Amino acid sequence: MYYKELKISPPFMNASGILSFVSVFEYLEKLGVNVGAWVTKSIGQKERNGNENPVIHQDGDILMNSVGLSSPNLDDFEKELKEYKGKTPLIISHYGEKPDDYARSVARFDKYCIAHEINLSCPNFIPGEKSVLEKVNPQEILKAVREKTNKPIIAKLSPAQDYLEITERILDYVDYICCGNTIRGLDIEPISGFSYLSGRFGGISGEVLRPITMKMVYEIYKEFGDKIGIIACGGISKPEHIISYARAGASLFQIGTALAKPSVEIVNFFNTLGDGIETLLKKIGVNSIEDIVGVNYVD
Amino acid sequence: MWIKRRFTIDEIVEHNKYMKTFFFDETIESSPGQFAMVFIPGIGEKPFSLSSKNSITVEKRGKFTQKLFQMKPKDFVYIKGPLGVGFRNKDYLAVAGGSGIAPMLYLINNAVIKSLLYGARDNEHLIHGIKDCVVYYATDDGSYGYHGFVTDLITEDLVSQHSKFAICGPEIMMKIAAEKLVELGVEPKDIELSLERYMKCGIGLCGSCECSGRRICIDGPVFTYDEILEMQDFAKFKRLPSGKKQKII
Repeated sequence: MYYKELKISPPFMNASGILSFVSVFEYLEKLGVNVGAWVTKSIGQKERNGNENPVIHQDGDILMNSVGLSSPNLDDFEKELKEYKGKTPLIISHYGEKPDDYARSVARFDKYCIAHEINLSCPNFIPGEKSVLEKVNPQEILKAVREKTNKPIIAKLSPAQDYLEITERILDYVDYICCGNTIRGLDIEPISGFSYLSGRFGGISGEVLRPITMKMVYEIYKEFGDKIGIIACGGISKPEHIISYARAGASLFQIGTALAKPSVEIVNFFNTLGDGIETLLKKIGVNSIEDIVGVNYVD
Repeated sequence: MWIKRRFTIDEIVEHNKYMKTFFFDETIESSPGQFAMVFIPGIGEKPFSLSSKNSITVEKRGKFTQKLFQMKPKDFVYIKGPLGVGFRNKDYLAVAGGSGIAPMLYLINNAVIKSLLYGARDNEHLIHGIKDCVVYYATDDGSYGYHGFVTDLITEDLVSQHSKFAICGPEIMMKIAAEKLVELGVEPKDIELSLERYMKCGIGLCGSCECSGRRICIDGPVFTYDEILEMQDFAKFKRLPSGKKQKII
């Protein structure tokens, strides 16, 4: 296989922007959580507040957020990385406005992590801003980043992007595609006519994303599965979802919205997820998740 | 599980120039110490302690609370709640500073406070007429009650009459109060404090409100003091909206 394998066990972690800070990861570890890695919040170049509240909107099964890439600056971020005492390895998520931005933070934080996630698809920026791929060719970003690290590089794309075309363009520089991100949406408060979110638009997350993201995993695996690995991220809340995503083509898994839980419950959630996966694999009659990656009869 | 829906303001009680209680047309199944995110479309959203099953008690501070203070009965807000973990005990000696009185009003409503030590900067910031418990007032400028900090009112005699303690107010004040209680022989596990941090999602996802790894919105806001003693950032650091850590002065 071409790609630099990201060897983590168990094969699941949090999604970027969820739990966010190394101090939270450390505390969960102290409580006994077992995850393969922790993914940090996307780090940008400058200190940035993101959108004002409300940044979360929930109605029935719909959950949307417009946090809008809030971030401390690189110096403040590094201070916390230096203080991280956890044993679980870190994956650092990066965002920027141009290739240099990504390259700079990848180079600077390379020693703190086992892999880099390149966020090319955050759907909730501040009103008036453009998304990064409206400004820059993704190939230039990944090329710049590849020059700075030998560690696995994950490109985080969204089901709302032309992901097959983008993947093809960045194929030579990337080891994993993270499928996917939240999908941009809008919900309007009926009486006042204002958006429920101060950032106007927000990323839809949770269960509703799963079939959309699973199709993305399936298609990317079919086209490029022999050249890159796939991380599934969208609506995972139980072991069955992980097995289904594995069959679609993913070998690693990220959990986001399902972590809206007190710390003790997060620990319990992750620690029973592994057992649940084992049970299902036994039922299928295989030993490990790797045995079923991409094994499906959809066609 | 929390809900988010539109609530109509039923009644507004103006305690003083700076503090009002907003009563809603429906109740939120909740316990004292839990909070709600209050959303005014086009203006913003902020977390507030519930002061009863159907009210919030708010101090006027910034843009959002100014807008809230202009609202009238029959106006609506959205409420997402109840959120977080509240107080767990009863027969409290409670210590409240400033707007930290809000969750205490809920405890008083539930008849679980025996005595309340309540401080504010001056008489104009105090809520008067609190019933159903013994209230000892303090003001920084001496305009009402004891002249000085509310924590000065914590005495050995008063402490010996209680076995459970609840504290809510500015973090430094809470630290002083808790330390004083411990000096007087109280077990840290018998003291509960309600913490406050800048909050974004309010449901445990974003991590913005973390204090030494605990997400205040979902692991708290009420913690026992023995847990807080393990939180190194308590009364030392908070996070800004960007996530940058800043010293608490």
